[in-house]
This record gives sequence, structure tokens and C-alpha cells, in this order.
Amino acid sequence: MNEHTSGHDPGAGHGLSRRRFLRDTAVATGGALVLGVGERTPALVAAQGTQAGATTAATAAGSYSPVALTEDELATLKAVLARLIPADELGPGAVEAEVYVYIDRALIGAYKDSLPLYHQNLAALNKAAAAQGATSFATLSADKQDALLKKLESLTGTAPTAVQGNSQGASAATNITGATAGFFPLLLEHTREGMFGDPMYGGNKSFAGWDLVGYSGIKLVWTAEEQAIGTVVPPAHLSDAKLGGYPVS
Amino acid sequence: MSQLPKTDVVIIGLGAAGGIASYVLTQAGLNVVGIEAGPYRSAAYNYDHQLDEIGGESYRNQMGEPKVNHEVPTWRPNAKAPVQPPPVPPLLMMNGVGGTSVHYTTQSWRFRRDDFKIRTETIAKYGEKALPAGTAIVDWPVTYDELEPYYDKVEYLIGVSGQGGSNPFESPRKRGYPLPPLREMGFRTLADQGMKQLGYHPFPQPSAIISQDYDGRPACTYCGFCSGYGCWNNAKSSTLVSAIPKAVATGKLDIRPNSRVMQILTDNGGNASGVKYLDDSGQPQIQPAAVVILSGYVYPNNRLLLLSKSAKFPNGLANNHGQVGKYYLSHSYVGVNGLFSGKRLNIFNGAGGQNAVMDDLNGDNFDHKGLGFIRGATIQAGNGTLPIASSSSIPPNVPGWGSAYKRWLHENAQSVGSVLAQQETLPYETNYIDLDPTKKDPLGVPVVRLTYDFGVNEKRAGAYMANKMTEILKAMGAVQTWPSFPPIPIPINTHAYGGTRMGDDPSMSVVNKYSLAHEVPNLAILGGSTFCSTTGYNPTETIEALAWYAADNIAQNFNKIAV
Repeated sequence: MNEHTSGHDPGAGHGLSRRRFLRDTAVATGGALVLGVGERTPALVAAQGTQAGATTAATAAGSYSPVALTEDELATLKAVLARLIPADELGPGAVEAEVYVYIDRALIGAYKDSLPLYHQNLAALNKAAAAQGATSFATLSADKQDALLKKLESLTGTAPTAVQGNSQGASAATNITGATAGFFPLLLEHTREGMFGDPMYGGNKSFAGWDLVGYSGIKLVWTAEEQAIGTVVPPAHLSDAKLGGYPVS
Repeated sequence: MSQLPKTDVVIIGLGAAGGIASYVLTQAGLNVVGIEAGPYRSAAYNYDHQLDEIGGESYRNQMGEPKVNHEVPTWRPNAKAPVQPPPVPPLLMMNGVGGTSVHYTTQSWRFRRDDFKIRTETIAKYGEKALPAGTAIVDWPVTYDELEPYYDKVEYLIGVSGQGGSNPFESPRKRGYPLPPLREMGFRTLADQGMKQLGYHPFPQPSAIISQDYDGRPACTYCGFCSGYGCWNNAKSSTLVSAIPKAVATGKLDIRPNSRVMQILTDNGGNASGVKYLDDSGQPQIQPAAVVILSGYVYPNNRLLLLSKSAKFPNGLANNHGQVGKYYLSHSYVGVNGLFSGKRLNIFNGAGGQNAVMDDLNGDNFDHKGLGFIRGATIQAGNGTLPIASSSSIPPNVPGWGSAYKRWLHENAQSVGSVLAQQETLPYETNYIDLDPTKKDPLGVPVVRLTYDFGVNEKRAGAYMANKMTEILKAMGAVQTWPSFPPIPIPINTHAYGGTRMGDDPSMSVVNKYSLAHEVPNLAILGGSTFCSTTGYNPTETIEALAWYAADNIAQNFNKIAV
């Protein structure tokens, strides 16, 4: 809970209506204005041929200090994310988009009930890596990481949260002692939320996820031409935070 | 606990139904107290809604606070099975003045004449044996012709956009909509063409979003944060921005937000005498009233009746015939995705009412002989895709993660369009609501338990609709199609109905055609809980028309009904 949702007056924290001036502007210009243009962030910095896997996880460590996971768990999570959505010639992956920040923050907030699952399954991945002679999951080769993740994915059970997605099946016979059925779909859903959700939650850094799927970012006004098939709508790169929005815990 | 001064009418829940009732009753000069569990997100508070997919309905349901998220029903498929996780994650409503009309998709339908005569019409055409085993299909006690004036009043009060006469199956209208349809965007044109090619009759979705400036509110700007989101410029015609401000302006509506009703009270004669509630500081209060209107969602309506036990009503209020909770219904959805390779569809935007929609396979608009099921579905194709949702719309041959996943999304995310069927489901004797024996909310009050499953009729109709939608997508030019939503039950739903069904016979229903409880004549129950059938249509405009019809009756006969 925060000041916006806990009180009797949910709008009290906003002061003046943050969108009222935008609305007036939009109406005055006949709705043709692309709002937020002046607030565009710099164009997405593409990852320059970053190698996925162990190298990425080892070198992409920024200054982020985890609030829910341990440093070791964060390193493992990053290595997993680097395989789920890798950096490549198409642009940044989940690590570069800082999806781990999104997930770590959520694990003390909206998804705090899932924290034990992360503890358990990240440990299980490291234990499985140790059984292969590696010091941790992050130091395995990308192929071996993928094999373990496919195994994790193949564990069946009731997913805590349903997610649409297609299993890659388990091609490796590797066992993952201590892993939980249903964790992988949950992790994949959280990864997609962090990659493609609003950057104000910590992920989708530099709008990498929105650029990947061709979403312009928030625009309050869409014109008829922009709703026609084929029109290329340039990135507005606008987060709701620029309009006074806030992360919901 | 303090006893407050008596009011004419107390309304429990100021959503779509309660909002309309508050308007009608205050216009008639009655004093109304509206008790609402959620906050008052009004323009007067400078409240702005988030444009945020994570905080919205599907992921964190920010607006489901403080109540909905904490009293999610439990589910089991039948009375012998244990409570278990539902096959589809719970679809949840929200709290606040205006209720879920604040963030609904706004598809604003009138039901058709034959929807209100479902039993009679089915038997007349197919014989009594066409009614599937175990069903409890009844005609509604109210007719389309009785409700038509109230549909009309609702459309003009709140502002509904649409094109009268564009649906060849619609029942007669006194006049057209107050506003033209929302903008025809590219994907709607494409869907129109595909449907027409197959001989169907698509038309623009009627929607409670204003397509032009109306009643002091600005027109829709097609931002795309629509279904599941509050509207940034109030173009969505929720009761929060339409009916309720007019009720407040009379000076006769006293809104008490962040207040939770715990019990409906009765006097020694068995009449409703008021409500006990926790006020916005958590203090218990008693609000006496001459008439009580219960107008929450299906779950809280049934829950509050079952919790309001007394000597006269040992099994819950208005439940001496054992009807409260019976004939629980939930809409079903069947969806198919199509890949339109190389086409940028531009559907990451837009309003919930910009769909192409068709009624050809709904109700009894098509011949069911030999099909093995009765009734049907509305079929729609629209926009409003957002990035997180798009990242899960991938065909079965594409992996859900890794380089291939990323490449597929990059090349195709803007080229996936979907067609969706909203399917009528039938009332069954074995589908019902009661109180869960173990799960409680944070106040220690039991949540409701749903016992609900499909019959053969629902499975066959779902499979039929999936095939038809695949044909439509191919006619639209899709190079690949795959299911987005299989025909399975949705036990915990924003389109749930029943439990306080309306009817003429007290042994088979809870309220009469005016929504007054058979057993408690000064208690009205409004909302989807009174529905006899789901139809293939979205419910809100019918909920609002029935609320207006009920409130009109209370206002005109107040001295007879009031206690």
C-alpha cells in the first residue's frame, strides 16, 4: 500500500489532476497531438552483439542491490533471464532490460507470497548445476542451462498462475531435486510482465520490451490513421510515471 | 455502535445498478444513503486512473482493493469434489463508487425478445426434449417490451454509442442511439469483410463510451487502456461520471465510501429495517431505512443474504424457500487467434467498443437442428491488445522462451488478431453458491464457495464456435490460427449471474419482476444475481435497465413498499 491507495481519498496524493492539462491540450488540437513527445527518453541503446548466457550474467552486474533475493540468488536469476529472453542482434534481452529488478521488487510487494518458491527453485537450479560439476547455474554453458530450464519447465502440476505459452519439453534427462512444479510458468509470466510492462516497475529498461513488440509506449490520443492497418507508429517511449502514475504494489 | 437517523432508502453498493437506482430515486425526491465498500474516485478529488498494464485488472487488480481481492470465492466442480484451484485464474471485479462500470469494457447491449422467453421459444421450436438434462431453464418474468423504455432511458442518460438498425437480429427500438458508433479502425474493417464473405451480418459494437462530446464530457481518444482500466478523460460512461453526479446534485444522495455492510437487519415482522456497517474508520454503525436495496456484485449479494440470519430467516435473509444461491451462472469465452503475417494491424490501442460484432450465431438466430446444443454466442473481433498480453499470444509451434521466441515476437507481435465468442451457458440444478465452510476474509467472515461446471451443451456449443471463428479468421486472411481460449468453465468470473433469480413463483425464485424479494417486500436486489439466463450478451445495460425499472416501481409505490 502507498499514499495513493491506503487513504480514504485515493486521489489526495496527486494534487492537481495530472492529466487535465493534457486532456485540454488534446482537445484543443483536435486530437492529433502525440502527447509526451517532449519527454521522450533517448533512443534505445541496442546491445552490441552481447553474448547470452554465462558471460552476460557475469558481466551485466550493475549497481542494483536486491531487496528480496540474496546476491547469489540474484546472480542465478539473471542467468536464467538471459536464457528466457536473450540479448541478440534484435536488441537487449531480459537482463539488459533489468527484468530482475522488476521481479526482485515484486517479491517484497505484490508477489511476496512467491518468494519462498524463488528461494527453493533457484537453489534447486544451483544444486543441479553442482551435480554437473559447475560452481553454479550461472557458470554452466548456455546449452546446459537451457537443458536444465527445459527440465524445470517439464515438471507438471497446477500452476499458481496460468500462463499461455508453449512448453519446449524436456530433452535432457537431468534431474532437478527440490524444484517445484508450476514454478516455471510463474517465472515466465513474471519475466514477461517485467519485460513488457511499464518501466516504472523496474523492468523494460529504455523501453526495450516495447520496442521488441513494436509498441509505441503510452499515447493518450490515437488518430484514425494510426489505427489503420499498416501505419507505422513511431515510438513515443512514454511511461505512465511521466503522467503521474506510480507502481502498484 | 450508533444508530443514525432513518433514511428513505439505503443502497448497498453504488455500482452500475446502485448508481442508476440512486439517480432515479433522488430525482423522485427520496432521500438516499449509498454505502460503498470502495473509494470515491471522483473528479472532485482530482482522481486520475493509471494507464498501466501491470497495475490493471489482469495482473494486480489495483482497483480490487480494499475488498474484492480479499474475498475471492472458492470453487469446486461438483458437491462431491474438494475445493480446488479453478481452471482459469479468477476474473475479478473492483471496488469504488461507480463499481465495475468504472473499468468495464463497455459493450452495451440490449437483450432480445427471445432471450426473455428462452424456455417457451426453445420448446416451441425444438420440443421439450431439447432442454438438456439437469437444466433449470425458465422464462424471465419481465419482457423485452416492458424493458424497452428503460433501455432507452439508460442509453440516453449515460451515453451509449451505436448504430440502431445495423444488427438485423435486434428487437425493435423506439429510437436510435444518442451517439454514433465509435471509430471504425482497420482491424474492424478486416473482420467485417471476413464475416460478410461467409454470409454473416457484422455491425459496429454498441458501447458505453461516448464517440463525441456528450453531456459535458469529452469524446474517447482511443488510448488503449480500456477494458480493465478507469478512463483517463471520463469518456467511458460509468455511473461514476454519468448517473451519480446528477444524483449528488439533487442534494439527496449521501455517499459513504470505504464503508462495508456486514448485515441487513430485519424487524419483528420480517421486513428489512436497515443495515449494520463498518464506517470509513472501521466503527460499526446502524443505518435504518424504509427500503433496503442490495446492489452488489453476484458474490457479495448472495453472501450478504446468507450471512444475514435472524429468527425469521434462519437460513439467511429471503431464503426460507431455499432459493438463495441457486442456479449460479457464468459466461464462457472461446477465442481463436490468427496470424496476419507482414501486416501491422495496429490494435495496441483503442476502445473496448470498437469491435466488429455479429449476432448470427447467438441465441436462436440460427437453426440448431442436428447440432446437439441450444443457444449460442456473440462473436467479436477487436483491439486493445497491450504488450504483456501480446507476449503470450504465440502459436503452438513457437517456443515460449529463448531466441526463437524473441524473434517470433519481434516479427509477429503486431500481426496477431483474435476473434472471441461470448457464449451463453445454461442454468443447472447442480450449479450453486453457498458459504465456504473454512475460508474467511480478513474480517473473519466466510467467503462464498462456488459449485460449478459445464454440461454437454456448453462443450458442444464451444467447439462449434471455435470452428466458426477459425473460418472467419481464414476469410480475413489469417495464414495460421490457434486457440487463444479453449471452451472450459470460468468459475470465478466478472460475468457471473444468479443466486437470487427473478420469477413469479417464490418456490423457484428470490425476487419478482420488480426485483423485490418475495419474502421481504421492502428489500430490492439488483444486479446480475437476479438474471435467469446469461444470454450471449454483456450484462451491464440490462442490469441498468432493470435497476431503473425497479427504482421506478419503488418511487411510484413508495408509501406501499416502505416500512
